[in-house]
Amino acid sequence: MTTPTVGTAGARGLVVAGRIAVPLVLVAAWAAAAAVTPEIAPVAESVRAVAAAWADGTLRPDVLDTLQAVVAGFALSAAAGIPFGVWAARGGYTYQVVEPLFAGTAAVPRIVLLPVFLSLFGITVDAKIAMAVSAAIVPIVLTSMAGTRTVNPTLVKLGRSLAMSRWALLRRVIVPAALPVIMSGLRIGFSLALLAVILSEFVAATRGIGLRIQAAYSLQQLPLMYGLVVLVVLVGLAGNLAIWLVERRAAR
Amino acid sequence: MSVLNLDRPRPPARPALRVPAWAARAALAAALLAAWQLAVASGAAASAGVPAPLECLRRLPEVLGGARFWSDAARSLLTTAEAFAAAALAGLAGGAVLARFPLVAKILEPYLVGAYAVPVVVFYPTFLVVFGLGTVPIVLTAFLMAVVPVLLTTMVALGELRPAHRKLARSLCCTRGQAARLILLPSALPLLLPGLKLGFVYAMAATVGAEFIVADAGLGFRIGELYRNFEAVDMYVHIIVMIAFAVGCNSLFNLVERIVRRDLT
Repeated sequence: MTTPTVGTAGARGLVVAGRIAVPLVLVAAWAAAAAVTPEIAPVAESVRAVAAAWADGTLRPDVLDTLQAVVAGFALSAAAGIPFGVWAARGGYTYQVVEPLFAGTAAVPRIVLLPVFLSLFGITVDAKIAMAVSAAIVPIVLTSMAGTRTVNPTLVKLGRSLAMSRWALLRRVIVPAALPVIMSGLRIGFSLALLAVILSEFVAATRGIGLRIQAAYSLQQLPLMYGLVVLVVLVGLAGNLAIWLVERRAAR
Repeated sequence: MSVLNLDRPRPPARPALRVPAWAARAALAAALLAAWQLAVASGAAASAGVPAPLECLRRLPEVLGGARFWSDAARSLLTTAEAFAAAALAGLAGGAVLARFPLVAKILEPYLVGAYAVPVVVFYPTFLVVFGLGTVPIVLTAFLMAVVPVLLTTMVALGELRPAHRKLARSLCCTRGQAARLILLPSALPLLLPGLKLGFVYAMAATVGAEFIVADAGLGFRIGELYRNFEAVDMYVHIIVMIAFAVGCNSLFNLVERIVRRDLT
């Protein structure tokens, strides 16, 4: 059997070429499918429909409302979830009590909470933020706990032998060592926050990209609908890329 | 895994006073329910139209005794199971193929990781347009959502296993079939389980979510319908049952995981 040649210069060029080709293949597949069936809108028409909706100013409030809900829900989840997770993982007993609570609720389809939030907050951006928090906080807490517990105890001992205060130990030793795992939780959290917000907007909203997709579906404005679906995909990828860039900078 | 305790060593008198962790969790849940009951009884939650938990509890047997609940539950479960089975098959097979061809895996890796970032449910309306209202668009959405974690976990797990295990298989003069069945699969299974578990959770979330948007049956559809008809008590009963079911599924997966891991380690 030949050994894989990953790592050689030729293979690296092939990987780069392949990675560039993947989105092109996806767009080509979309165009081919659109040519076969009228139920799939053509690529150029979809892009034009979104550009037109953006240019006439009707799309902007929807995009801003969605982004506001996702970013606010994600930020709240990170601000509350990371300190809580790190705290809960410090003591063995607290961890034993708390971890199954979060691991168990991770399996609950978050959409069932939407009626509860709608009755508490009304059809507002607050209900969407609450949905985003309910979805994003679970992976963030779970990975913060997991990351903190996998910190090498020798590092903690070293910190103690240097007479670090508990705060310094947390900030300079534990959180940096747990950061890679926490960052992966942040990325999952962001994805789930976006999913929760879009899903809520499909069901009940006064503004939002999800609502616009739903409206375009009802009115059978297929180019706009397909274009907006791709826009949501791009928002998800952009958010993930941003977190990944922060992660890489933090790792340095 | 290391147990990290930031506190300085304490005299061992304290753990003896502690109740078991499950009892502490039960007490926490009971306290939350009590707070909910009190909030409703005191009228603080009246404006939101939230029923009291005791009221829901009284209604629970009637809902569970009705045929409609069971047909909804069966529909959701069947859709989830179909999507999960397809995702498990495709994810395991795809992951195994990618582990076999590292170059292809390396090309696709950023896109597979990026697929995690895509809120797959956003494709549901496009599937509705193409396939029409029915279970096909829901199964397809749930399948797409579930296949990503299964595929990625399989690819990573098999990729890590291969070198050492291939050597072992060769030194034992295994045929390729024997190597896969006796060495690769047993050692990969514990690593594949987290991906399968996540796949099931995602399949269920996508199914219930899609049902909530547009469907004609299923637990997600029913909760949305009860919400629109202002049947608050029945709606909360369905929500509580849904949460209990999801937590139960999670416990079941944990149990399977413990059994599989025990006879391997």
